Amino acid sequence: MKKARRKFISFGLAAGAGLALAGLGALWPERPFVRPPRALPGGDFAARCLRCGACVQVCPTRALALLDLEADFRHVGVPWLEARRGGCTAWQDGCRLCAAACPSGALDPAMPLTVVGVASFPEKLCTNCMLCLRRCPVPGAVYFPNPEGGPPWSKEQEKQIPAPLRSVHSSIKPVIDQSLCVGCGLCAAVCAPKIIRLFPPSSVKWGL
Amino acid sequence: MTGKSHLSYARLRLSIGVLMLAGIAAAARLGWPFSPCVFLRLGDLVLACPLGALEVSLAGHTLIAGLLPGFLLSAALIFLLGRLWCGWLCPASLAGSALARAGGFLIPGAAGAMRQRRRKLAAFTAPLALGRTHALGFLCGLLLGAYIFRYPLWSILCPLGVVSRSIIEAALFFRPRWEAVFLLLPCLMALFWKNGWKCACPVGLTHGMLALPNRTFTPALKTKQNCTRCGLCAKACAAGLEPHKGITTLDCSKCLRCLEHCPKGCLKLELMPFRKKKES
Repeated sequence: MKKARRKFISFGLAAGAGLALAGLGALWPERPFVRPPRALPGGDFAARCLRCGACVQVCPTRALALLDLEADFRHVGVPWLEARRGGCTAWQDGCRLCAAACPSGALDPAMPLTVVGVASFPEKLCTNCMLCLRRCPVPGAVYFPNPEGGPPWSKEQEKQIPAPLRSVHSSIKPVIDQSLCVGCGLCAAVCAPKIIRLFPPSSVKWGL
Repeated sequence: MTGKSHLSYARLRLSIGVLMLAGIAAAARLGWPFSPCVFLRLGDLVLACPLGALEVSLAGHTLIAGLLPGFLLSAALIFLLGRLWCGWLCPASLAGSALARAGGFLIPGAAGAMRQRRRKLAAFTAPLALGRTHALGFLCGLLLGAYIFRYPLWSILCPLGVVSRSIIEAALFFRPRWEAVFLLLPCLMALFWKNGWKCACPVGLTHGMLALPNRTFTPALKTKQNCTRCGLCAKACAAGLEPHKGITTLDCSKCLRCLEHCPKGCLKLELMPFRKKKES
């Protein structure tokens, strides 16, 4: 009888420890991060993700990485779009290898592509190399403001950009249209001075 | 058993473990999804970690249809083969034994001193002896927590997951992961408790519980009259069992150490457990 009670108490204590640990992780304040394309929204992503790393293994551009301890505890081991290494080509060629590899459906191949992040950069450091303009898959998301008041230049109109504007010393820098940018990170991956950063769509600036 | 077969078992275990770790890295470089969490994909059939599948289904508040056939298949395999995974495929146990061996190799006499200190520490933690009850309680708490807080905590802490994620990132991006500090937990437990990590591993316990009703491929004393009760099998057992007195499928990791260490060869794998029952 005594033994049974002792067993019950130790069972309860261990169960409490497991429950408390899970609760601690859940209470951690959330830090937003750039989610992979086709990720489940909100808390569903952290709940469904198996943290197996299959998406990172199959990503052809190596754009995905796994969140480490710098994330909130709930999201440790979850994949994120680390645009510094390579951008996501889903908006360009419809790649869905990560979602197809996901065993638990945290990345769902049937999900429509949504905006995962926003790219921005400090204008002072930009060298006007125009690689971002050439690489951006969304027409018009990166453009040069036209000093003569015409339409903003897009990828197709790149040749019309006057040479002085292309110069490293030009005062006119490319603009990323925050309302059009989908956050694929291709610009950040090709950026020559490596100044373009990708931020989660919410206003909290935490990405790279 | 001869000394030669003894060596080949250890070598086989080591090479399987190394192959497993190298396989994760190679798969990452080649773009294949392979890790101990999801170790086989054949079309729609996904053989995933049973505990991971359970936890994710509970946390997601949905029955994940894609994981169900694989879960049933792996449950059937575990029912048949027991905790084979723990003894032969688990990178965590491989890393543990490799560390112990490396320690003994680098510092002569360290292994003996370590064993002595460990015995002292084990005496110190004896009142806190972790056993099946604690492990089961922890597992239940984890699963309940996964359901209530929608948070699969074990998928983060699991040494297998930590090891495979670290290998994936090391192979692809050549950088270490801070997450690897979670591996201190099994290392510390190995220091303080006799059976180390094995007494509390939720994945191993899940495997053990799935295997519990079945006794196939479990070592058992076949020729009782030859057994001298020398205790060599109990000394060799990785799970801290006493094979000559009987083994529970819940704990046996099918490492076959007892079979190779028995000087008289009295222990055999049980192949037809039901026939034996009829005889006795």
